[in-house]
Amino acid sequence: MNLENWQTQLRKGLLDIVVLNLLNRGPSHGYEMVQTMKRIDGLQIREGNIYPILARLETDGLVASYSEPSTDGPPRKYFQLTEAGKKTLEAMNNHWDRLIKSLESIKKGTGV
Amino acid sequence: MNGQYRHSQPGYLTIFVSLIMIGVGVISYATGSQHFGTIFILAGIFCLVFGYKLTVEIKDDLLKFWFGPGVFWKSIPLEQIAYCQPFKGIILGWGIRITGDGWLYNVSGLKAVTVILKTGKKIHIGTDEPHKLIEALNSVLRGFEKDEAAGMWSEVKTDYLKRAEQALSAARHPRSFEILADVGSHLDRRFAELEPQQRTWDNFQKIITEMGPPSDYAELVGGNESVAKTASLTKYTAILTLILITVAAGMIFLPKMLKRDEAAKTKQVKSPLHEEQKVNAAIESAESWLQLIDEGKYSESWTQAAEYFRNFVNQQQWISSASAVRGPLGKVISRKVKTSTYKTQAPGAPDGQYVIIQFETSFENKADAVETVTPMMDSDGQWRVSGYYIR
Repeated sequence: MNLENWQTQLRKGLLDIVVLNLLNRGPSHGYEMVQTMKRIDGLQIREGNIYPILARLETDGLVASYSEPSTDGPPRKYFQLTEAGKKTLEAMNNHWDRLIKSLESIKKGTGV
Repeated sequence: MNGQYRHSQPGYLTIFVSLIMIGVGVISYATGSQHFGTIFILAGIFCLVFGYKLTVEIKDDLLKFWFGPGVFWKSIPLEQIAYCQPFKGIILGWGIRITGDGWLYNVSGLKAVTVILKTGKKIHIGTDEPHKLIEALNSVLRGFEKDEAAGMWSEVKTDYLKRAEQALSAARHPRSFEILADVGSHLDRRFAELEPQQRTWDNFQKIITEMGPPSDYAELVGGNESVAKTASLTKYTAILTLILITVAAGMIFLPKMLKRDEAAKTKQVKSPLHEEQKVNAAIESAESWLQLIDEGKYSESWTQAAEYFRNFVNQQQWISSASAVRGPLGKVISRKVKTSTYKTQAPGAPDGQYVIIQFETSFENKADAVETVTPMMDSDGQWRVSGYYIR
Protein backbone atom coordinates (compact mmCIF):
# COMPACT_ATOMS: atom_id res chain seq x y z
CA MET A 1 0.00 0.00 0.00
CA ASN A 2 1.27 3.47 -0.90
CA LEU A 3 1.06 5.45 2.33
CA GLU A 4 1.55 8.78 0.59
CA ASN A 5 -1.35 8.08 -1.74
CA TRP A 6 -3.59 7.16 1.15
CA GLN A 7 -2.64 10.36 2.99
CA THR A 8 -3.37 12.45 -0.11
CA GLN A 9 -6.77 10.84 -0.60
CA LEU A 10 -7.61 11.23 3.09
CA ARG A 11 -6.60 14.89 3.00
CA LYS A 12 -8.74 15.49 -0.07
CA GLY A 13 -11.66 13.79 1.59
CA LEU A 14 -11.30 15.97 4.65
CA LEU A 15 -11.04 19.26 2.78
CA ASP A 16 -14.75 20.04 2.92
CA ILE A 17 -15.01 19.61 6.68
CA VAL A 18 -11.75 21.49 7.23
CA VAL A 19 -12.82 24.47 5.10
CA LEU A 20 -16.26 24.62 6.70
CA ASN A 21 -14.72 24.48 10.18
CA LEU A 22 -12.31 27.27 9.28
CA LEU A 23 -15.22 29.40 8.06
CA ASN A 24 -17.11 28.57 11.26
CA ARG A 25 -14.57 30.78 13.02
CA GLY A 26 -15.67 33.71 10.88
CA PRO A 27 -15.52 35.04 7.30
CA SER A 28 -12.26 34.45 5.51
CA HIS A 29 -10.78 34.59 2.01
CA GLY A 30 -9.15 31.79 0.08
CA TYR A 31 -5.63 33.04 0.46
CA GLU A 32 -6.00 33.39 4.22
CA MET A 33 -7.47 29.91 4.57
CA VAL A 34 -4.59 28.45 2.59
CA GLN A 35 -2.07 30.20 4.81
CA THR A 36 -3.86 28.90 7.91
CA MET A 37 -4.00 25.34 6.63
CA LYS A 38 -0.32 25.47 5.73
CA ARG A 39 0.42 25.92 9.41
CA ILE A 40 -1.65 22.90 10.48
CA ASP A 41 0.24 19.66 10.51
CA GLY A 42 -1.09 17.13 8.00
CA LEU A 43 -3.46 19.54 6.33
CA GLN A 44 -1.05 21.27 3.96
CA ILE A 45 -3.21 21.90 0.97
CA ARG A 46 -2.14 22.67 -2.56
CA GLU A 47 -2.98 26.32 -2.75
CA GLY A 48 -5.06 26.28 -5.90
CA ASN A 49 -7.31 23.52 -4.58
CA ILE A 50 -9.12 25.79 -2.16
CA TYR A 51 -10.95 27.68 -4.92
CA PRO A 52 -12.73 24.77 -6.61
CA ILE A 53 -13.79 23.57 -3.16
CA LEU A 54 -15.14 26.99 -2.19
CA ALA A 55 -16.95 27.26 -5.53
CA ARG A 56 -18.58 23.88 -5.01
CA LEU A 57 -19.60 24.72 -1.43
CA GLU A 58 -21.06 27.99 -2.68
CA THR A 59 -22.97 26.19 -5.44
CA ASP A 60 -24.31 23.79 -2.80
CA GLY A 61 -25.47 26.79 -0.75
CA LEU A 62 -23.23 25.99 2.23
CA VAL A 63 -21.14 29.15 1.93
CA ALA A 64 -21.79 32.63 0.55
CA SER A 65 -19.26 35.13 -0.78
CA TYR A 66 -18.87 38.89 -0.84
CA SER A 67 -16.11 41.27 -1.91
CA GLU A 68 -14.33 43.86 0.14
CA PRO A 69 -11.76 46.41 -0.98
CA SER A 70 -8.18 45.60 -0.15
CA THR A 71 -5.34 48.01 0.55
CA ASP A 72 -2.71 45.71 -0.92
CA GLY A 73 -4.25 44.59 -4.18
CA PRO A 74 -7.51 43.78 -5.91
CA PRO A 75 -10.71 43.44 -3.84
CA ARG A 76 -10.73 40.38 -1.63
CA LYS A 77 -13.45 37.79 -1.94
CA TYR A 78 -14.61 36.69 1.48
CA PHE A 79 -16.53 33.54 2.22
CA GLN A 80 -18.82 32.85 5.17
CA LEU A 81 -21.05 30.00 6.31
CA THR A 82 -24.73 30.12 5.47
CA GLU A 83 -27.40 28.72 7.81
CA ALA A 84 -27.50 25.58 5.70
CA GLY A 85 -23.71 25.43 5.91
CA LYS A 86 -23.82 25.63 9.70
CA LYS A 87 -26.35 22.79 9.93
CA THR A 88 -24.38 20.64 7.51
CA LEU A 89 -21.18 21.32 9.39
CA GLU A 90 -22.80 20.30 12.65
CA ALA A 91 -23.91 17.01 11.11
CA MET A 92 -20.47 16.48 9.56
CA ASN A 93 -18.70 17.16 12.86
CA ASN A 94 -21.03 14.75 14.70
CA HIS A 95 -20.33 12.08 12.14
CA TRP A 96 -16.62 12.74 12.34
CA ASP A 97 -16.69 12.49 16.15
CA ARG A 98 -18.48 9.15 15.88
CA LEU A 99 -15.91 7.91 13.39
CA ILE A 100 -13.03 8.93 15.63
CA LYS A 101 -14.70 7.30 18.61
CA SER A 102 -15.29 4.10 16.65
CA LEU A 103 -11.75 4.08 15.34
CA GLU A 104 -10.39 4.64 18.86
CA SER A 105 -12.45 1.80 20.22
CA ILE A 106 -11.14 -0.50 17.48
CA LYS A 107 -7.59 0.61 18.18
CA LYS A 108 -8.03 -0.05 21.89
CA GLY A 109 -9.72 -3.36 21.25
CA THR A 110 -12.90 -2.31 23.04
CA GLY A 111 -15.07 -2.20 19.91
CA VAL A 112 -17.49 -4.89 18.76
CA MET B 1 -2.71 61.04 -19.24
CA ASN B 2 0.45 59.39 -20.45
CA GLY B 3 -0.09 56.67 -23.04
CA GLN B 4 -3.21 58.03 -24.72
CA TYR B 5 -3.62 56.30 -28.03
CA ARG B 6 -6.03 56.18 -30.91
CA HIS B 7 -5.61 54.58 -34.32
CA SER B 8 -7.95 53.41 -37.06
CA GLN B 9 -7.02 50.63 -39.44
CA PRO B 10 -8.84 50.86 -42.78
CA GLY B 11 -10.51 47.66 -43.92
CA TYR B 12 -9.70 47.90 -47.63
CA LEU B 13 -10.59 44.29 -48.33
CA THR B 14 -13.83 44.56 -46.37
CA ILE B 15 -14.78 47.62 -48.39
CA PHE B 16 -13.95 45.81 -51.62
CA VAL B 17 -15.90 42.66 -50.65
CA SER B 18 -18.84 44.76 -49.41
CA LEU B 19 -19.05 46.62 -52.72
CA ILE B 20 -18.95 43.34 -54.62
CA MET B 21 -21.77 41.99 -52.42
CA ILE B 22 -23.84 45.10 -53.08
CA GLY B 23 -23.11 44.81 -56.82
CA VAL B 24 -24.10 41.14 -56.90
CA GLY B 25 -27.22 42.03 -54.90
CA VAL B 26 -28.23 44.79 -57.32
CA ILE B 27 -27.71 42.51 -60.35
CA SER B 28 -29.65 39.68 -58.69
CA TYR B 29 -32.45 42.07 -57.80
CA ALA B 30 -32.60 43.44 -61.32
CA THR B 31 -32.66 39.96 -62.88
CA GLY B 32 -35.60 38.78 -60.78
CA SER B 33 -33.99 37.14 -57.73
CA GLN B 34 -35.40 39.78 -55.42
CA HIS B 35 -35.02 37.87 -52.14
CA PHE B 36 -31.47 36.88 -52.95
CA GLY B 37 -30.66 40.40 -54.15
CA THR B 38 -32.12 42.09 -51.07
CA ILE B 39 -30.17 39.85 -48.72
CA PHE B 40 -26.91 40.54 -50.54
CA ILE B 41 -27.50 44.29 -50.68
CA LEU B 42 -28.34 44.48 -46.98
CA ALA B 43 -25.43 42.22 -46.02
CA GLY B 44 -23.09 44.31 -48.21
CA ILE B 45 -24.26 47.58 -46.64
CA PHE B 46 -23.90 46.08 -43.16
CA CYS B 47 -20.35 44.89 -43.89
CA LEU B 48 -19.44 48.22 -45.44
CA VAL B 49 -20.77 50.34 -42.58
CA PHE B 50 -19.36 48.20 -39.81
CA GLY B 51 -16.26 46.91 -41.50
CA TYR B 52 -14.67 49.85 -43.24
CA LYS B 53 -12.36 50.44 -40.30
CA LEU B 54 -11.39 49.18 -36.86
CA THR B 55 -10.47 51.82 -34.31
CA VAL B 56 -8.50 51.12 -31.13
CA GLU B 57 -8.33 53.71 -28.36
CA ILE B 58 -6.68 53.89 -24.96
CA LYS B 59 -8.38 56.55 -22.93
CA ASP B 60 -9.67 57.10 -19.41
CA ASP B 61 -8.26 53.83 -18.07
CA LEU B 62 -10.02 51.89 -20.80
CA LEU B 63 -8.86 49.99 -23.83
CA LYS B 64 -11.70 50.45 -26.27
CA PHE B 65 -12.18 49.28 -29.84
CA TRP B 66 -14.99 49.40 -32.36
CA PHE B 67 -15.88 48.67 -35.95
CA GLY B 68 -16.97 51.40 -38.36
CA PRO B 69 -18.58 54.51 -36.83
CA GLY B 70 -18.52 53.14 -33.30
CA VAL B 71 -22.17 52.33 -32.74
CA PHE B 72 -21.10 49.18 -30.92
CA TRP B 73 -17.82 48.91 -29.09
CA LYS B 74 -15.96 46.76 -26.63
CA SER B 75 -14.04 48.22 -23.75
CA ILE B 76 -11.67 46.61 -21.28
CA PRO B 77 -10.66 48.37 -18.05
CA LEU B 78 -6.88 48.64 -18.07
CA GLU B 79 -6.74 47.33 -14.52
CA GLN B 80 -8.06 43.99 -15.80
CA ILE B 81 -5.23 43.63 -18.30
CA ALA B 82 -2.21 41.58 -17.29
CA TYR B 83 -0.10 42.25 -20.34
CA CYS B 84 -0.14 42.27 -24.11
CA GLN B 85 1.94 40.77 -26.88
CA PRO B 86 1.93 40.42 -30.67
CA PHE B 87 -0.62 37.87 -31.89
CA LYS B 88 1.24 34.61 -32.42
CA GLY B 89 -1.35 32.67 -34.41
CA ILE B 90 -2.25 32.71 -38.06
CA ILE B 91 -4.98 35.08 -39.13
CA LEU B 92 -7.38 33.63 -41.66
CA GLY B 93 -10.11 36.05 -42.71
CA TRP B 94 -11.52 39.19 -41.21
CA GLY B 95 -14.36 40.09 -38.87
CA ILE B 96 -15.30 38.88 -35.41
CA ARG B 97 -14.71 35.26 -34.57
CA ILE B 98 -13.62 32.86 -31.87
CA THR B 99 -10.18 31.31 -32.12
CA GLY B 100 -8.63 28.49 -30.15
CA ASP B 101 -7.70 30.90 -27.37
CA GLY B 102 -10.05 33.85 -27.47
CA TRP B 103 -12.01 36.22 -29.66
CA LEU B 104 -10.35 37.89 -32.63
CA TYR B 105 -11.49 41.24 -34.01
CA ASN B 106 -10.00 42.58 -37.25
CA VAL B 107 -10.83 44.19 -40.57
CA SER B 108 -7.69 43.80 -42.60
CA GLY B 109 -4.12 42.56 -42.67
CA LEU B 110 -2.53 39.67 -40.87
CA LYS B 111 -1.38 41.39 -37.68
CA ALA B 112 -3.01 41.67 -34.28
CA VAL B 113 -2.23 42.32 -30.64
CA THR B 114 -3.16 39.76 -28.00
CA VAL B 115 -4.41 41.30 -24.78
CA ILE B 116 -4.19 38.88 -21.86
CA LEU B 117 -6.49 39.63 -18.96
CA LYS B 118 -5.62 38.84 -15.36
CA THR B 119 -8.14 36.01 -15.51
CA GLY B 120 -6.11 34.41 -18.28
CA LYS B 121 -8.69 35.25 -20.93
CA LYS B 122 -7.25 36.48 -24.23
CA ILE B 123 -8.60 39.00 -26.72
CA HIS B 124 -6.96 39.53 -30.10
CA ILE B 125 -7.32 42.94 -31.71
CA GLY B 126 -6.34 43.45 -35.33
CA THR B 127 -4.11 46.40 -36.14
CA ASP B 128 -1.61 47.46 -38.78
CA GLU B 129 0.72 48.89 -36.11
CA PRO B 130 0.91 46.22 -33.41
CA HIS B 131 4.13 47.44 -31.83
CA LYS B 132 2.82 50.98 -31.33
CA LEU B 133 -0.32 49.60 -29.69
CA ILE B 134 1.74 47.31 -27.45
CA GLU B 135 4.01 50.19 -26.53
CA ALA B 136 1.05 52.40 -25.70
CA LEU B 137 -0.61 49.68 -23.65
CA ASN B 138 2.54 48.83 -21.75
CA SER B 139 3.07 52.47 -20.90
CA VAL B 140 -0.27 52.64 -19.12
CA LEU B 141 -0.39 49.22 -17.51
CA ARG B 142 0.53 49.91 -13.90
CA GLY B 143 3.20 47.65 -12.51
CA PHE B 144 4.20 46.29 -15.87
CA GLU B 145 6.29 49.17 -17.17
CA LYS B 146 9.67 47.94 -18.30
CA ASP B 147 9.30 44.98 -15.95
CA GLU B 148 10.65 41.87 -17.60
CA ALA B 149 10.08 39.75 -14.51
CA ALA B 150 6.44 40.74 -14.52
CA GLY B 151 6.16 39.74 -18.15
CA MET B 152 7.74 36.39 -17.37
CA TRP B 153 5.40 35.93 -14.41
CA SER B 154 2.43 36.69 -16.64
CA GLU B 155 3.49 33.97 -19.03
CA VAL B 156 3.76 31.47 -16.15
CA LYS B 157 0.47 32.56 -14.64
CA THR B 158 -1.40 32.55 -17.95
CA ASP B 159 -0.16 29.08 -18.74
CA TYR B 160 -1.37 27.83 -15.38
CA LEU B 161 -4.75 29.52 -15.75
CA LYS B 162 -5.13 28.11 -19.22
CA ARG B 163 -4.56 24.59 -17.94
CA ALA B 164 -6.98 25.25 -15.09
CA GLU B 165 -9.55 26.50 -17.58
CA GLN B 166 -9.21 23.31 -19.61
CA ALA B 167 -9.68 21.17 -16.51
CA LEU B 168 -12.72 23.17 -15.41
CA SER B 169 -14.15 23.13 -18.91
CA ALA B 170 -14.14 19.36 -18.74
CA ALA B 171 -16.01 19.54 -15.43
CA ARG B 172 -18.46 22.08 -16.88
CA HIS B 173 -18.86 23.83 -13.57
CA PRO B 174 -21.04 26.97 -13.65
CA ARG B 175 -18.54 28.83 -11.49
CA SER B 176 -15.52 28.04 -13.64
CA PHE B 177 -14.96 31.66 -14.49
CA GLU B 178 -15.15 32.72 -10.82
CA ILE B 179 -12.72 29.99 -9.84
CA LEU B 180 -10.26 31.14 -12.50
CA ALA B 181 -10.59 34.74 -11.35
CA ASP B 182 -9.99 33.69 -7.72
CA VAL B 183 -6.99 31.59 -8.69
CA GLY B 184 -5.69 34.52 -10.77
CA SER B 185 -6.02 36.88 -7.79
CA HIS B 186 -4.32 34.34 -5.57
CA LEU B 187 -1.39 34.15 -7.98
CA ASP B 188 -1.21 37.94 -8.15
CA ARG B 189 -0.90 38.08 -4.37
CA ARG B 190 1.82 35.48 -4.38
CA PHE B 191 3.68 37.53 -6.96
CA ALA B 192 3.18 40.76 -4.99
CA GLU B 193 4.68 39.12 -1.89
CA LEU B 194 7.94 38.49 -3.68
CA GLU B 195 10.69 41.05 -3.28
CA PRO B 196 12.02 42.34 -6.63
CA GLN B 197 15.15 40.20 -6.31
CA GLN B 198 13.02 37.13 -5.59
CA ARG B 199 11.13 37.47 -8.84
CA THR B 200 12.94 34.71 -10.63
CA TRP B 201 11.87 31.89 -12.89
CA ASP B 202 12.64 29.30 -10.18
CA ASN B 203 10.50 31.07 -7.61
CA PHE B 204 7.66 31.40 -10.11
CA GLN B 205 7.82 27.66 -10.75
CA LYS B 206 7.83 27.04 -6.99
CA ILE B 207 4.62 29.00 -6.63
CA ILE B 208 3.03 27.05 -9.45
CA THR B 209 4.08 23.78 -7.80
CA GLU B 210 2.54 24.90 -4.53
CA MET B 211 -0.67 25.71 -6.36
CA GLY B 212 -0.99 22.06 -7.31
CA PRO B 213 -1.85 20.56 -10.69
CA PRO B 214 -4.87 22.18 -12.34
CA SER B 215 -6.09 18.69 -13.24
CA ASP B 216 -7.15 18.33 -9.57
CA TYR B 217 -9.70 21.13 -10.02
CA ALA B 218 -12.15 19.04 -12.02
CA GLU B 219 -12.31 16.43 -9.27
CA LEU B 220 -12.51 18.96 -6.45
CA VAL B 221 -15.21 21.03 -8.05
CA GLY B 222 -17.53 18.03 -8.42
CA GLY B 223 -18.19 18.29 -12.15
CA ASN B 224 -21.13 15.93 -12.53
CA GLU B 225 -23.65 17.84 -10.47
CA SER B 226 -23.36 20.91 -12.63
CA VAL B 227 -23.43 19.40 -16.08
CA ALA B 228 -27.15 19.89 -16.49
CA LYS B 229 -27.07 23.41 -15.07
CA THR B 230 -24.72 25.23 -17.36
CA ALA B 231 -22.61 24.50 -20.38
CA SER B 232 -19.36 26.38 -20.68
CA LEU B 233 -19.24 29.80 -22.34
CA THR B 234 -17.12 28.31 -25.09
CA LYS B 235 -19.77 25.75 -25.86
CA TYR B 236 -22.48 28.40 -26.00
CA THR B 237 -20.31 30.48 -28.26
CA ALA B 238 -19.69 27.55 -30.57
CA ILE B 239 -23.42 26.78 -30.73
CA LEU B 240 -24.27 30.44 -31.34
CA THR B 241 -21.68 30.63 -34.11
CA LEU B 242 -23.11 27.48 -35.68
CA ILE B 243 -26.64 28.87 -35.53
CA LEU B 244 -25.51 32.15 -37.11
CA ILE B 245 -23.71 30.28 -39.90
CA THR B 246 -26.80 28.12 -40.47
CA VAL B 247 -29.08 31.17 -40.54
CA ALA B 248 -26.73 32.99 -42.91
CA ALA B 249 -26.49 29.95 -45.19
CA GLY B 250 -30.26 29.61 -45.06
CA MET B 251 -30.73 33.26 -45.98
CA ILE B 252 -28.45 32.83 -48.96
CA PHE B 253 -29.59 29.45 -50.24
CA LEU B 254 -33.22 29.23 -49.12
CA PRO B 255 -34.59 31.66 -51.74
CA LYS B 256 -32.79 29.68 -54.44
CA MET B 257 -34.10 26.39 -53.10
CA LEU B 258 -37.62 27.74 -52.80
CA LYS B 259 -37.42 29.03 -56.34
CA ARG B 260 -36.18 25.65 -57.54
CA ASP B 261 -38.95 23.87 -55.62
CA GLU B 262 -41.51 26.22 -57.06
CA ALA B 263 -40.21 25.54 -60.55
CA ALA B 264 -40.31 21.81 -59.91
CA LYS B 265 -43.85 22.03 -58.58
CA THR B 266 -44.93 24.09 -61.58
CA LYS B 267 -43.36 21.51 -63.81
CA GLN B 268 -45.09 18.68 -62.00
CA VAL B 269 -48.44 20.39 -62.10
CA LYS B 270 -47.99 21.60 -65.63
CA SER B 271 -47.09 18.21 -67.07
CA PRO B 272 -50.51 16.47 -66.77
CA LEU B 273 -52.24 19.64 -67.91
CA HIS B 274 -50.09 19.72 -71.02
CA GLU B 275 -50.80 16.07 -71.71
CA GLU B 276 -54.54 16.55 -71.35
CA GLN B 277 -54.42 19.48 -73.76
CA LYS B 278 -52.52 17.38 -76.27
CA VAL B 279 -54.97 14.49 -75.97
CA ASN B 280 -57.92 16.85 -76.51
CA ALA B 281 -56.28 18.37 -79.58
CA ALA B 282 -55.53 14.89 -80.93
CA ILE B 283 -59.16 13.74 -80.38
CA GLU B 284 -60.42 16.82 -82.16
CA SER B 285 -58.09 16.12 -85.08
CA ALA B 286 -59.13 12.43 -85.16
CA GLU B 287 -62.85 13.27 -85.16
CA SER B 288 -62.40 15.72 -88.06
CA TRP B 289 -60.44 13.15 -89.97
CA LEU B 290 -63.00 10.40 -89.30
CA GLN B 291 -65.73 12.68 -90.61
CA LEU B 292 -63.93 12.74 -93.98
CA ILE B 293 -63.85 8.93 -93.96
CA ASP B 294 -67.54 8.79 -92.92
CA GLU B 295 -68.37 11.05 -95.89
CA GLY B 296 -66.33 8.85 -98.22
CA LYS B 297 -63.77 11.57 -98.86
CA TYR B 298 -60.88 9.07 -98.78
CA SER B 299 -58.70 11.10 -101.08
CA GLU B 300 -59.00 14.15 -98.82
CA SER B 301 -58.45 12.02 -95.72
CA TRP B 302 -55.11 10.92 -97.20
CA THR B 303 -54.15 14.56 -97.92
CA GLN B 304 -54.96 15.56 -94.36
CA ALA B 305 -53.21 12.56 -92.78
CA ALA B 306 -49.80 12.81 -91.12
CA GLU B 307 -46.67 12.99 -93.24
CA TYR B 308 -45.56 9.63 -91.85
CA PHE B 309 -48.88 8.10 -92.97
CA ARG B 310 -48.60 9.54 -96.47
CA ASN B 311 -45.03 8.25 -96.80
CA PHE B 312 -46.12 4.83 -95.67
CA VAL B 313 -49.06 4.44 -98.08
CA ASN B 314 -49.74 6.29 -101.32
CA GLN B 315 -53.01 8.02 -102.02
CA GLN B 316 -54.37 5.37 -104.42
CA GLN B 317 -53.54 2.51 -102.11
CA TRP B 318 -55.29 4.33 -99.30
CA ILE B 319 -58.38 5.11 -101.27
CA SER B 320 -58.60 1.50 -102.34
CA SER B 321 -58.03 0.06 -98.85
CA ALA B 322 -60.31 2.53 -97.03
CA SER B 323 -63.20 2.08 -99.41
CA ALA B 324 -62.82 -1.69 -99.19
CA VAL B 325 -62.94 -1.68 -95.39
CA ARG B 326 -65.40 1.11 -94.66
CA GLY B 327 -67.80 0.67 -97.59
CA PRO B 328 -69.41 -2.54 -96.37
CA LEU B 329 -69.95 -1.19 -92.82
CA GLY B 330 -72.42 1.43 -93.97
CA LYS B 331 -73.17 4.76 -92.30
CA VAL B 332 -72.10 5.66 -88.79
CA ILE B 333 -74.97 5.47 -86.25
CA SER B 334 -72.98 6.58 -83.18
CA ARG B 335 -69.39 7.08 -82.07
CA LYS B 336 -67.87 7.94 -78.76
CA VAL B 337 -64.36 7.98 -77.33
CA LYS B 338 -63.62 4.88 -75.29
CA THR B 339 -59.98 5.46 -74.35
CA SER B 340 -57.23 7.90 -75.21
CA THR B 341 -53.58 7.41 -74.29
CA TYR B 342 -50.69 9.78 -74.78
CA LYS B 343 -47.49 8.03 -75.90
CA THR B 344 -44.07 9.06 -77.06
CA GLN B 345 -43.45 5.74 -78.75
CA ALA B 346 -45.60 3.69 -81.08
CA PRO B 347 -44.92 0.17 -82.45
CA GLY B 348 -43.16 0.27 -85.79
CA ALA B 349 -43.16 4.08 -85.85
CA PRO B 350 -40.44 6.62 -85.05
CA ASP B 351 -40.38 8.20 -81.56
CA GLY B 352 -42.63 11.22 -81.34
CA GLN B 353 -45.88 12.27 -79.77
CA TYR B 354 -48.84 9.99 -80.33
CA VAL B 355 -52.33 9.70 -78.91
CA ILE B 356 -53.92 6.32 -79.32
CA ILE B 357 -57.68 6.82 -79.38
CA GLN B 358 -60.25 4.06 -79.34
CA PHE B 359 -63.80 4.90 -80.41
CA GLU B 360 -66.81 2.75 -79.66
CA THR B 361 -68.62 3.01 -82.94
CA SER B 362 -71.90 1.64 -84.15
CA PHE B 363 -72.15 1.27 -87.94
CA GLU B 364 -75.20 0.60 -89.98
CA ASN B 365 -73.94 -2.96 -90.64
CA LYS B 366 -71.80 -3.53 -87.55
CA ALA B 367 -73.32 -2.48 -84.27
CA ASP B 368 -70.27 -2.77 -81.96
CA ALA B 369 -67.06 -1.89 -83.70
CA VAL B 370 -63.95 -0.38 -82.19
CA GLU B 371 -62.04 2.15 -84.29
CA THR B 372 -58.46 2.85 -83.32
CA VAL B 373 -57.18 6.16 -84.60
CA THR B 374 -53.65 7.32 -83.85
CA PRO B 375 -53.02 11.01 -84.41
CA MET B 376 -49.40 12.13 -84.11
CA MET B 377 -47.76 15.51 -83.72
CA ASP B 378 -46.49 16.43 -87.16
CA SER B 379 -43.32 18.42 -87.81
CA ASP B 380 -45.37 21.64 -88.07
CA GLY B 381 -46.85 21.09 -84.60
CA GLN B 382 -50.28 20.00 -85.88
CA TRP B 383 -52.00 16.80 -84.79
CA ARG B 384 -52.65 14.57 -87.81
CA VAL B 385 -53.78 10.94 -88.10
CA SER B 386 -50.96 8.45 -88.63
CA GLY B 387 -52.97 5.19 -88.29
CA TYR B 388 -56.49 3.84 -88.58
CA TYR B 389 -57.74 0.42 -87.67
CA ILE B 390 -61.23 -1.06 -87.32
CA ARG B 391 -62.05 -4.14 -85.23
